[in-house]
Amino acid sequence: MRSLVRFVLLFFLFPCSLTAQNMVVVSGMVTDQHNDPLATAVIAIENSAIGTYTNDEGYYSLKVPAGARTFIVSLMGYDAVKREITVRKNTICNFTLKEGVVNLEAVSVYGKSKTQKLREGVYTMNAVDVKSLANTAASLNDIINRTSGLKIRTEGGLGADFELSLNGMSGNSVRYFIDDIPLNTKGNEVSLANFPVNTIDHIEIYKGVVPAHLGADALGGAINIITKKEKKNFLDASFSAGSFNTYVADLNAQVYFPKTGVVLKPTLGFSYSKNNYKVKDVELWDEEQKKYILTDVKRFHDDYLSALAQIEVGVENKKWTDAFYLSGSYAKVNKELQTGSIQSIVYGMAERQQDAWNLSARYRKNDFLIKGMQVSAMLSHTWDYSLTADTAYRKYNWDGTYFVTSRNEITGRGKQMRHYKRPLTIVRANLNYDFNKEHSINFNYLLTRNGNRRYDELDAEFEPSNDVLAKHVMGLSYNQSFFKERLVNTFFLKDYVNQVKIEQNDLYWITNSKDLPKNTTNNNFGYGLGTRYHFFESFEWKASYEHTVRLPLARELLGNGSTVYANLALQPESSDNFNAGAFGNLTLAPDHRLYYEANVFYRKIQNYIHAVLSQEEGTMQYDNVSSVNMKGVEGELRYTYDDFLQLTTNCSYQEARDRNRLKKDGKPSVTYNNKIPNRPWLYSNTELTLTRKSVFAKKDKVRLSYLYQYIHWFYLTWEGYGALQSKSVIPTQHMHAATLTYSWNKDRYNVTVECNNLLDSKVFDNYMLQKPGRSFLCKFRLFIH
Amino acid sequence: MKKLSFLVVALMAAFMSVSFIACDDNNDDPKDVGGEVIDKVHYDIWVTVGASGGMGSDATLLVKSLSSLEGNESINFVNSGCDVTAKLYQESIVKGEYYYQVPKDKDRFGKYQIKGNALTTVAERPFSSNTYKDRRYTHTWTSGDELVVLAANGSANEVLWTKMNGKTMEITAEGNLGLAKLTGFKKFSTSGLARYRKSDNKIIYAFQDKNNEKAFFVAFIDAATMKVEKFVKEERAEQMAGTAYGELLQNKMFFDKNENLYIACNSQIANSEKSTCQYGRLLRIKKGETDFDKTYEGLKKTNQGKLVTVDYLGNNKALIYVQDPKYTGCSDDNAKYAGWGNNYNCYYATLDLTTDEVSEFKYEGKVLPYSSGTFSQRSFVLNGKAYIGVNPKAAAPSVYVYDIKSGAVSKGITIQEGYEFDRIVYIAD
Repeated sequence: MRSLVRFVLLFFLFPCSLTAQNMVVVSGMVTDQHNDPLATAVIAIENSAIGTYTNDEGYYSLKVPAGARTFIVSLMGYDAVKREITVRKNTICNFTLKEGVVNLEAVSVYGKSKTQKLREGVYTMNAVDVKSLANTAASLNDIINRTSGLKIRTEGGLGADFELSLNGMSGNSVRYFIDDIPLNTKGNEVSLANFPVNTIDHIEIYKGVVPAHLGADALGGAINIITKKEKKNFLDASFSAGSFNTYVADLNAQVYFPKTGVVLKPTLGFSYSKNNYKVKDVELWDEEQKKYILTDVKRFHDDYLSALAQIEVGVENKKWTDAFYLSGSYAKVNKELQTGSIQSIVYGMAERQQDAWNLSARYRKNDFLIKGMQVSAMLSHTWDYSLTADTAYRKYNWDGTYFVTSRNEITGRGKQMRHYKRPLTIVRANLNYDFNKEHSINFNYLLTRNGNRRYDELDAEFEPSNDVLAKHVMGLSYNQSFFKERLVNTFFLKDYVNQVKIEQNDLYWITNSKDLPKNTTNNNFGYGLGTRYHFFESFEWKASYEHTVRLPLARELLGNGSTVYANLALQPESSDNFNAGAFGNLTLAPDHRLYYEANVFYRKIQNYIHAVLSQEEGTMQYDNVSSVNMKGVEGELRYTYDDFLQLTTNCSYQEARDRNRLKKDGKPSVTYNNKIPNRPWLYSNTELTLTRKSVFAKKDKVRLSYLYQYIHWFYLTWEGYGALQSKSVIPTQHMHAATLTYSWNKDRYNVTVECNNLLDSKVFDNYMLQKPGRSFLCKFRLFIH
Repeated sequence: MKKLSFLVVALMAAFMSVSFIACDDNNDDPKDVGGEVIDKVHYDIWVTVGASGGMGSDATLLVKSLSSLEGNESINFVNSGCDVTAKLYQESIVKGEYYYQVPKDKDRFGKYQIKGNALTTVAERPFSSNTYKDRRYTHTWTSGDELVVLAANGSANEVLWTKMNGKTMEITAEGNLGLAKLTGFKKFSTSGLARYRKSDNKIIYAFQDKNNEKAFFVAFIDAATMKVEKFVKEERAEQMAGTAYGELLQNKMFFDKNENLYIACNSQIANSEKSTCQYGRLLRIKKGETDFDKTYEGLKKTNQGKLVTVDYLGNNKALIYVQDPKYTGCSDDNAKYAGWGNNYNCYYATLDLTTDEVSEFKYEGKVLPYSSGTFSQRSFVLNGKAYIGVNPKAAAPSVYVYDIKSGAVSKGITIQEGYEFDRIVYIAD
């Protein structure tokens, strides 16, 4: 035993003692040409994994091996500075950056981008640098679907409904934010599928344990979209056109008036697709042969249109505020519905429309009232309106033909024009106090109040209702760091309060509306901690735990009126989430770097909310599956050779098991400890990116990337029961995609050609809901800075 | 003298013996036996895994074929049984070797066969102009091999019908009953109940006016023309037992030997807490008649308990499955909602159609255990026996076999605990 302890100590301490030799500290300030300090500037040592960032005061401190070192200092919007310095003792070294072009490469010089730094924080998370992917034609969904532990199951092409699962937790267990504010402020139909990519700096994907400052009652994690925060003027516009009559246009700009501090930020996003991709082997009746034959047809009623317009006006760096913005946005989504829950259910007229207006104000101030106190606050109101129109008495076939019938398409009942008005009010307040550099405390309050007024202009029997769902989430966290940030800890408490007022009584046998009081208030507590220890650059360790509660979403509780029925008896779900992981950066040789990460997780979920097919109407409904355990392991390897090559591969394995010993009738359940069916459990992504500079012209760039995605097949139903040969499966997916980007004139002009599903495979995320085959997309992006 | 005495004693003994046998047989007509007689048959046990298999369930649906339900075998579905979840509903028309239904594709009628662990599509036909919601229609077989399906349309303001060839599933005719015009009703029950009366070639169709649910109606339809010849109102019960799902899962009507039609009905208990607190009645339409027999009102003597399923046993006796919280000890008052729902509050019994006596089945001197599950059909009558599947609280679900002639009850197979045991059917080989 002693020898084992000695070995372990030796194993961990030996590299430390090596790396501790001849280390000196280089520190200083990074400022612009006006001598203003620059925050978040990167200070990197060339050909090493050593680097850091400046703090809010522009100060940095970096431990480097003594000797001649090449320092590279960079910041978005400034020309990078490269300087060779011979350091033999602790040295102060200041840098001045001049405004200039964007220089993304500098960030990756030492292999630690901002997103990498985030990944190395206390929380188990993926941080995705979206900014560097802005040239690609991928949507946010595509981008995050390549990261470890995360899987998006889509029902079709652009704009199709999707479910995101994070470490096995279903889509609605994951909360979405934009700059720490719930994403649905933009409207319920604004999602990762249609949010303009050009506006985004990076995405933070929190797995299991979610920072208290997000105010999220998230069971499986949270996705926080961080938009670009630059003080410089720029115009970023792009246009894509591709297969299936797909067009995407984004515009994002910023006009900054330094004298007044006024900032103007217009954003436009537009996407349209006919989604008329070919679906293979669908059944079509052949009157001559008197049987169904398998044939390939094009989808004919799947048009999707999404538009988002937003204007933000604000001031920065005033005495009374560091940032104050007023914003207004409008989002519109028109969506034709092509299929029901399986592909053989064909619609030809039903559609959904949504309009959402939002007004919001946000305020941020450092040193608010007292030094070290930061406050940020936000008030937002969204007028969210949607309409599901199901008025055609028609029965469609896959070839687009139909016959007149006496039922609507979705529910098989009378004609319906169902209107939903879901006003959403959000209030957020966040207070942060830094006792000193090592200790800080943060308090967050988030109120979301959802209305749900429903009426039907055709269905006289539909009883209008006006339900209200209000959630208050309070979070208090304490952050500490020791040993010059080698050890970082976070402790937090959360309080979740849910208020529901219900009026709807229709379909009570499905929604349970008759059995429940009309007004209810629930109070639940959560707590957790996270810790990270930096042993050395090549080995760091972190662990986190949270007891979390997720209050049902309005959609889960109240339904969406067309495909999701309300379940008013739905209980909040809770989970104990454990994460542990190790990661590190290795410099294999000059210019050859390797990053590795391995995480394990365990979730113990009570009252798990799960979407189930409701055959009552051929639609969906959310229900409490009372106990589920989930565990898994995931890992990522990223090899980088200079700026030329990057090879990333990740793999995720997860296992969700039913932990209900008893059925609802009190008898033993045969599915106890069985794997929950109909969910991907093994998947992997591998991406190779090659970048060449100055190929056709000076400072131009050619980037070629190849992506392979693998999803192992899985059973639709419980795998232990029923003869295996009779069971339905969702088959293995092999998806190949390639992207070629050419950028010139210092990244001002960018052209990308992308091919998805290169081998034109028949792929499914869900049973009998075919995804698009091979498709091409071409994107042109103009970036003027 | 001795010889005479011996003859007298012998004659008396013979006489007594004959009368004793007659008494034992209770004047039963050996030809009056309910159910079908099929030589070669197997039995399909339908269970669901992971959740309740009732209406609206999305659980895994498995079917296991057994050559016999008798004996003490305990069965399970571990890697056995045919998984039909992706294609079929449990709610299915069963006849001969096949299952018939609107499958999960929702756009067609289909004829299917489950053999071993394989599901085979025998024939399918797309809807023509009349469309039907999956699991929301009623049916009846007319002369020949003709299947007639009926259900309300989308807005439920008319009742549609479709005739199919049971062999090919070819749609031979379709239309609507014109009930809206005849009755003036604005909204009909979703499915209703239908039975074909062979002697006068009529389909007897029970339906409800959903805007006035205090009574129900029966239409007499010419099966050849599908013309409604007459409809009558019945106020002794609020509704026939199946208004939404027809008889796709549960048997709600039967003909006796004389072609008298018995219809299970239910009504809400006066001043009860919820509309699901009900009591049942069995009503009768006599052979050849086009109105209810006002002299008959079955289950009146008991006057409590909701009729869930009914089957004809023969000799004026019915096999009934009744949900009755008070009788089964789940509640002290059937007007209270507590006790209804998924409790072990159902029992199987015989109902004497003449005396209205209800007698629970007994095995080894004890009544069969009370069962849970009102969206189930775990009983049928075949080859002179009634097969009764129970789903008790304190034991594994099992099947009891009741010999109609002898009255003997024996215990059959057991289904391992943990599955939802909802349906048992016989399939001709």
